[in-house]
Amino acid sequence: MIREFYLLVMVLSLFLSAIIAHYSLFDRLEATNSQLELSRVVKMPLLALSVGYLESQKLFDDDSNTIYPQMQEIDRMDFVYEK
Amino acid sequence: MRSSPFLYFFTLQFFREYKNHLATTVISIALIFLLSAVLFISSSIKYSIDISLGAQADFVVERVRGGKKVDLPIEWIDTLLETRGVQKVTTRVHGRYFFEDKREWALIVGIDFMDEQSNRALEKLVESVDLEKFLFSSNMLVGDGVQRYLKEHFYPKGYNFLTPDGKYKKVSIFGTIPNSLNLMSNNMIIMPQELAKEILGIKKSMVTDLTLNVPNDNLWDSISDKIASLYYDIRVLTKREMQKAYENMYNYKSGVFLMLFLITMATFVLILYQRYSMVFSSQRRNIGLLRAVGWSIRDILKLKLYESLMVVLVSYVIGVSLAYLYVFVFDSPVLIDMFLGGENLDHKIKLIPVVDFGVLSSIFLIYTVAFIASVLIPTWSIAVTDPKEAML
Repeated sequence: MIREFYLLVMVLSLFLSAIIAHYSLFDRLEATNSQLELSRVVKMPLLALSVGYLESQKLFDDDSNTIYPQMQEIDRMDFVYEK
Repeated sequence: MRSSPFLYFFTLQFFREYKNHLATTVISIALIFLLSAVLFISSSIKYSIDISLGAQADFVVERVRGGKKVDLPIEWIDTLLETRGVQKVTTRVHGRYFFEDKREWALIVGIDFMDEQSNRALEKLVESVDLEKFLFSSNMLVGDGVQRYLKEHFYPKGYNFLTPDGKYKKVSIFGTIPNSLNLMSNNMIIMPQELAKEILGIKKSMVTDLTLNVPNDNLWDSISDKIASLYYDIRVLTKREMQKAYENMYNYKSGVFLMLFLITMATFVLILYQRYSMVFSSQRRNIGLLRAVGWSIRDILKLKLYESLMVVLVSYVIGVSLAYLYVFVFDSPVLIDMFLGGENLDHKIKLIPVVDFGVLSSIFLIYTVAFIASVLIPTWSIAVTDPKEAML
């Protein structure tokens, strides 16, 4: 084996040990407990989704209709309090 | 180790001709990095969802009219409690509040000050929270994303919510939910139930939905049927259904990536195969040369096997390590949006490190077998030909 090989092995070991150290030192119990407490408070298994496609598409449409530009705008208040 | 001339020759040749392996290694690292990152994110979110679902009630009861979810009367609690096997029915008040631009929204969750379990959990969650003060005045706890949004819009201490009556309701920010919980609370606003009802336009005698527990698992199906027959517009969701829905959602998303990975890997393997089988390739000449100086077919295959294993191992370790660092240390910018979206409030999410060793070893095996086969098959076909012919 040549010196470069040992060097490569050392670099790879460094990568692996960094990961193992991070994985084993992470306080998983506290993180898990906090998530559990929040779920107990809100009683919902929710993710903070940051999506638009789950919403009514009309909400994100442009005000003007390309085919009928004179068409009346939709009443956006319908969506303000969407549940 | 130094005494083995074969290994010495192998390492010497590998590093001397590192340029031949560089492109292969870089592409392999990129492929493994992408797939591992997606799988890390997916397994971590699944883990968090499982924790969260574990704390949930067994059933959620909703009212659906005309295909839309509507509020239901509190009196339903009494009817539900009359069903044998049902325990602890609680109310939930929640809804989305769209901010003035109607594009960004926050999830308002109302908590009941009579619910001891919820209050205890809240005390544990947010340190130094004076529950009495919080629950009996116009206060709210906000998630990290909401806090940043309000601050950017010049509402650092509170917000004036527009109620359906057209009036403004001023609510002060009482505290912030720890940002380690951003995965769930980034867009969340927690406030007393009565206040939430006022802002969301829910009548005092109504709630958004109800949750209930059935301690005996064997009764779940029959109780679900019983409850569903109580009212014509009732919808009963079980914990199992919710679990399945989330699982499907994330399996689908990571499945799309896995499919893309397999297509890319097949293309890559074909390119490799082509590279070694080309008539005038330098690889072909090298093999012919080794055969000419007396190497057996077995030795040549061994050399190429070691070379391939080295490339795969280096790419795998670097790819997986970089993916781990990217997801769990640098909070997976850009890629997390594939799972959670990036259209609403900005999120900086810290995921809990979860490593699915089964999936990781499957990636390794699939990748290694395909990679080694694409190198060894053409190598073998060259090695068995006459060295003179191979060196042409």
